[in-house]
Amino acid sequence: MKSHRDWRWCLGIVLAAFAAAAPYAAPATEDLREPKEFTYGADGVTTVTLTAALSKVMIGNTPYESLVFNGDYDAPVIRTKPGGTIRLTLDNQMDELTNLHFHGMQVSPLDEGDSIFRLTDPHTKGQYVLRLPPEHSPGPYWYHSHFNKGAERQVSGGISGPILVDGIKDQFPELRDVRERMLVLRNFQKTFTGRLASEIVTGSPSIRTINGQYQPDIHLRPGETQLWHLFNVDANQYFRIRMGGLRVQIISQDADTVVKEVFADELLLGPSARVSILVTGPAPGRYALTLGRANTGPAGDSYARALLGTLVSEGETMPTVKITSAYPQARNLTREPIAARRRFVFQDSEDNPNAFFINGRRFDPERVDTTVKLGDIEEWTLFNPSQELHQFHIHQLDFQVTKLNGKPVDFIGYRDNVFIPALGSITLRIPFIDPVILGKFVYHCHIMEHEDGGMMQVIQVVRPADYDQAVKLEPLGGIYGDNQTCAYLRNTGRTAIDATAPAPARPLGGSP
Amino acid sequence: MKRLHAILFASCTLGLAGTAGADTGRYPGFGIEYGTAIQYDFNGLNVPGQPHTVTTNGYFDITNVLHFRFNPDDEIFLGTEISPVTDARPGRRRWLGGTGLNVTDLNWYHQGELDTWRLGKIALPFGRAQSAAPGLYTSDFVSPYALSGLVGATYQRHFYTDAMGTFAPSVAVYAADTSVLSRAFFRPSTQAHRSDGGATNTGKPNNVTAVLDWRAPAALPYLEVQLGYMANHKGETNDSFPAASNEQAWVTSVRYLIPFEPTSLLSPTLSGRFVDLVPFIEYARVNNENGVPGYDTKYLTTSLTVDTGRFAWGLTHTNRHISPAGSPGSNEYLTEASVVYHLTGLIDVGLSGGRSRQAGDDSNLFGLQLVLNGAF
Repeated sequence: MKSHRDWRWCLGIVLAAFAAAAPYAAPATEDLREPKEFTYGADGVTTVTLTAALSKVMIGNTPYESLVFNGDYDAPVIRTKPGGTIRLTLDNQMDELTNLHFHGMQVSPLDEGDSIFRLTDPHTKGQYVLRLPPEHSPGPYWYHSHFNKGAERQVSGGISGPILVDGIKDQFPELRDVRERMLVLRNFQKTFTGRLASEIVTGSPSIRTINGQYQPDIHLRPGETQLWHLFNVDANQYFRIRMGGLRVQIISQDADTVVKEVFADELLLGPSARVSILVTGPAPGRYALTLGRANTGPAGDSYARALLGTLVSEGETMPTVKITSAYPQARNLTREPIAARRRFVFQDSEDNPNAFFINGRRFDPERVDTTVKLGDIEEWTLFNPSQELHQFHIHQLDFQVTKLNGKPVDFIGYRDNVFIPALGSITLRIPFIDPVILGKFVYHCHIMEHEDGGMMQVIQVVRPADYDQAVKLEPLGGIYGDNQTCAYLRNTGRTAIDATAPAPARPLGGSP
Repeated sequence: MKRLHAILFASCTLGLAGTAGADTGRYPGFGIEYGTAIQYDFNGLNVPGQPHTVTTNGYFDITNVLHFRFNPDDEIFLGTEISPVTDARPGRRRWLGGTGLNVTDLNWYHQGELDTWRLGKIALPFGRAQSAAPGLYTSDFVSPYALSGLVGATYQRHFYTDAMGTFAPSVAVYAADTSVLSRAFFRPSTQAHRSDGGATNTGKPNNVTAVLDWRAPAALPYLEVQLGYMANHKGETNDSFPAASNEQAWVTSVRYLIPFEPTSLLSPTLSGRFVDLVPFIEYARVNNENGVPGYDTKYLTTSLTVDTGRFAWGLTHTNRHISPAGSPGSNEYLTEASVVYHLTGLIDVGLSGGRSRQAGDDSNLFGLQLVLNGAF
């Protein structure tokens, strides 16, 4: 009798566990919606209020209680333009700390700017003011929680959303009349409880959505050209996307316009990556937008195959728009002198699946790990001795990938995030030359499980004259303190900092 | 018992202190992770002069980790395991029998920027064969020196240089657990006592392990080396254990990860077309194993893992040479070939087959395991 009770008890637990893993299937009939939008006025200012709260929302077709912005799993898009300003109020109605990072944007980390060292307490408001330089690169960016050791769960729940900087159509005037779409890709971990999971386990059964919708239809006409911006705003997942065998043209990656013609049959979007593509309507019919099964290495995660949506080509044939303008040019940094070379090892823990290291250390926000002189171009080689991918990202900056496993890489444009091969290396050249980046920020693995586990370090970019002093202050948090009230700023003032700007102020190019 | 209570009291006191000083974010907080395995073992035993005996055992092995977090770096870590706590009798075909619950870990766990420590019921970071060698049975075979379920503390600190990579020395002091947590729950079982004897069963933390992990030097970025030394005091002697000696052990292991470089790019990796080879070798020498005078052993584990996308193929051989004082030496071994198929992100299917010789008896082994991991 006793063993029978054991049998039922154990079987019950296992069946319940498998039930949670069972995929949820629902019919797809909706057309893809556009996200709600905050946009700029004649003064170029976009005024935004984001209220973060635990809310009852629909995740695709399934009700859940989760942490989201403005009561919707499909967070609003913030639209701005080069030279524009974003004035954002973060109304934190959650019972936990949070903050925001404006991923990929080349804006100041100082004052009320893009600083992850500022936090917004529960049930209080935080203010952000982002002033985009006139030469700011156009394209898709995103905002998300960067709350240390809590970002993975908050972003998985929905504390993230898209930003679009207008201007790609100015680079390619022939695209002026093509339809622009935003596809915001998310991944929500299923739970028994109907609430956001207490622990995010990468690779768990999940609901994949586009703009919060489960398997929507995306319409276009045969021959029609549309400009799509795809955003991976999930905490951890790699998206491996195919569009029913269609070939697409890549216009920009991570909001950096490519410097030459690039086509792709498959889009590989690591955590935090964005891509802008031209999609041309095929012969009438329905084409599956599929997410391929993905695997991040022997010690990594794997994700199941899924149907993301359906591309529906129907109606009258339209003329296809081709790129005829010259591609914007950008400095190829392999030809530039290098001021310093650095080595970083992105390493998993020997025995703790929740601990991750860069050069043997976990993240400490009170310490500066790297000090760089403004004006320098550095070469960083990132090693990954782990049997799983890592995804490098540095705030405030773009970089050029020059080598992969020691072999040269063709230059098609800058990036703000890139994979580090499992048991491999990647080499970057990073231009610390834009004065807007003066301040303190971070670089890290953008698989947020790893970021929260400690795979993140602090960097300060300083005027060359302050370098020696800044290095001395590294153990104490550097010369910028919390980016807001430090003695360094009081003594020099923003005017003095801005006066260091070399001419031209945006030296990475951007004009044809 | 008193010792464990004292440690738990100290942990809770530290926890409350941590709570008071914790930020107002998600801390204090609570999380659960689980792993559910269904395993079926087949063991064909050949004893000279006796009929062939077949034993089968099908069971659940359900592990749970509960995290009671006080701040981003500190938590109470509670690990439990629901699994058979008794062995299947030879010749029996058992299904879901003997199941009980064991508390495998209960400790204050601190993971800082450079250092890690645990205080409470812990496993020792000594030896890697139990986790690095592929297969279902090697971990049991090397368990005489890969100790767990001890009461004490471990401390580890990381050091790094660009040229030399990461050094992580650690030290542990501990004793055998004789508290109520040493017994299994929901199943008749007995609590461990000092009179049970054995190494580490001293009632005080006068047993020590020192380990150095070295990883990723610039010249050999995928190298992992471990050196370890363990010194355990003898336990009590009595009629059952009339003699006892202190136990000493040394361990050395080397693992190297060899990628097949063209498959390490993003597309082959994501599409599961990567290939890498992982050779591993570990040598352990134990004097007076488990406090038995003169019972010296040497273990040599060699393994090769080949990771090919959703499959992990493994071959492991462990040789155990026993040199009892005054008696001729003997060899035991375990050889197993295994494969794990990653069915989904959270479900693995494992198969292992092999052959072993222990206590003069030869066995053929076969095991099938289905694992589901998840969280609430």
